[in-house]
Amino acid sequence: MNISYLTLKEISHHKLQFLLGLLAVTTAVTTVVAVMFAMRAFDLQTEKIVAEQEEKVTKEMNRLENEMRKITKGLGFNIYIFPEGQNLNEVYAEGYASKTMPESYVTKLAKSDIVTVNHLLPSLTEKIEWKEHKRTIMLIGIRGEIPMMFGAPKKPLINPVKEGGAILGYELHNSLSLKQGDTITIKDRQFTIQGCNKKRGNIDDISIWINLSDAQEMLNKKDKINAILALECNCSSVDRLAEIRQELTAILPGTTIIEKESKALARAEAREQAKRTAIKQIKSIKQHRSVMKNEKNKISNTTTTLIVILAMGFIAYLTFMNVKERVSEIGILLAVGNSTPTILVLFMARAVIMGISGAVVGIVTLIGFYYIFVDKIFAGVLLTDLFDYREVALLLIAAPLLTCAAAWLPAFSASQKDPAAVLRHK
Amino acid sequence: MSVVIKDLTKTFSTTDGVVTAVENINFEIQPGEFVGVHGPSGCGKSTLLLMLGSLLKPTTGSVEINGVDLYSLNNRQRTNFRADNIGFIFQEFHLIPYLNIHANIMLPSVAKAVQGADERATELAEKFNLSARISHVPSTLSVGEKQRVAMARALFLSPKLLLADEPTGNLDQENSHIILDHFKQFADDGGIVIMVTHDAFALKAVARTIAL
Ligand SMILES: Nc1ncnc2c1ncn2[C@@H]1O[C@H](COP(=O)(O)OP(=O)(O)O)[C@@H](O)[C@H]1O
Ligand SMILES: [Mg+2]
Repeated sequence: MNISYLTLKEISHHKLQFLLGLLAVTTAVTTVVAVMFAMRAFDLQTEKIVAEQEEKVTKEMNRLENEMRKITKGLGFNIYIFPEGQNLNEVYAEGYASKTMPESYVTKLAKSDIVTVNHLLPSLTEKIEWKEHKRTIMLIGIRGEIPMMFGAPKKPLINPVKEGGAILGYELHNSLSLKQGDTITIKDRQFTIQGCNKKRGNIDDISIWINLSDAQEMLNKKDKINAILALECNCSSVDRLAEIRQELTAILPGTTIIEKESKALARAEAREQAKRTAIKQIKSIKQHRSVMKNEKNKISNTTTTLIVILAMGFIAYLTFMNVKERVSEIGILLAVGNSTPTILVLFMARAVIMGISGAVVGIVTLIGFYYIFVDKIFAGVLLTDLFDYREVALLLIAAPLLTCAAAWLPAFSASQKDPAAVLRHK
Repeated sequence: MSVVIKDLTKTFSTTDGVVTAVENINFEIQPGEFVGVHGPSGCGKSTLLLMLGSLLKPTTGSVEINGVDLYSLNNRQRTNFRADNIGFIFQEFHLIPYLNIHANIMLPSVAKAVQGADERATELAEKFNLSARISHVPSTLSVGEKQRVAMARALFLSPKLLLADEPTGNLDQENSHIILDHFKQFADDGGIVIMVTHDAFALKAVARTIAL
């Protein structure tokens, strides 16, 4: 015969008392796990809200980017690359560069792995007399966009002009009553009007865009260009001009690079601002949720602690009652030659069994609860999201430990009983 | 195996002052003796018995059993000594309510593992005429049966000294007789029985009396 035999027999004899203790453990475990479930569910909800918000922001960013692309298309480019030795005063005064550079420069640039620039547009511009209509115009030869070799393909920002085609600035087609499909003559050369631009309120209004090769022939500048327009789209760096200059001059040494006054830049900055605001907003949501969580935590910690303490107090009381009922047993066990520690073990074994079975019942109850209400309360939440196996193991250890702690004092007092006092007949 | 008591005194300090339960007692008991210790209620019989049984430390004096001074042993040694040598019987039986008779008889095997414990318990049940009750719990037994269970339990580890505190206190004459016969037989087999009692009938059965 051993202690475990005695313990099990005693438990089955004092069923009600034992079940009350077990109920206390179960209540405490259930509370702890339920609070854990609730906190997990709250976290999951937070994640969902933040994810939704982030998705919204991403969508909004994409929308802004698209909008910007559209706007930028109308606004033109914002970086000029001019030939080596070009006097900028002259450019500002005349609106174009007098020096030229090989057209191959743009190909060279396009083949480089430059990341700051996304769109390249070579041009050959010259102010000429449109003697057919007796006025001064800007003749601009463009080749359309040169695709970059590296990086993701981008939607072109400018539509090329076909050979023999021309696009007219607002002032020109408006005053001469020209429209798409009409034929015009420039320097004895015939062009078909491919497009008429809207009013822009700048020199563009008196410009004519033609195909680059047409311009090169007309201006006698075969394989030459006098500017490359480039749109840099990565506006993240504050000193973006220095950044782009460094990159470009490494590939095309000697070229002069200036930044055009740019509404696109303002747009990009607005977009950056919007992004920062959105990030701030998400951060503030997270912060708010974490404050809420802290409050919830405080409340649930208090509740849990209170219930655990109450359960422990109740178990201590029940164990005390159990000891009181069993003093005669303690006396005889000592009389037949058992030691004091054996008595302690006898009562602690009971606490261990109570703790483990209480925890098991509690966990099983909650799992049952989960499956019963899986559709109503826990929709889309997996049981393993709510608690994992390590936590179950921890509970199965913590519950008997706390039960033992609660039972310790009465059990210890039982082991300290004076057998003489118990066994003396009064 | 002999029991030697020298200058044994036990006092208790209570809120009402010091109570002297046992004062300066000396005696010696040899193997095979069945001794009755008697005196009026409150004269210190139970106190003396518990001191003899290594469960209560005397204030002064010594208890030597088989040459071993009980209270010079440490707790563990004394506990083991008790399991090895002493059996107790009380007026109140002190049976364990949730164990059946068979399990109650073999209760001492919790303290000291013995080979063939089950068989030994069955044997003792037979010896004390309890075979029919072996799977019953104590609450269903008569007082006579209860005391026989307590006696069987006391003999389970084959002690050399039996200590009985008013063993017939709750029994009728017939059942007292049965218990007293078993004591006599235990002494005849070479053991020592020390029975404290104020029961005149029980005292008739003993070979030697010590008055307190
Ligand atoms: N633990 C104790 N504290 C105080 N007084 C005690 C204690 N145990 C016994 N006594 C006293 O010692 C005396 C002897 O008691 P006891 O040995 O039980 O007598 P008996 O068994 O002969 O009736 C009594 O007066 C009793 O009140
Ligand atoms: Mg007494």
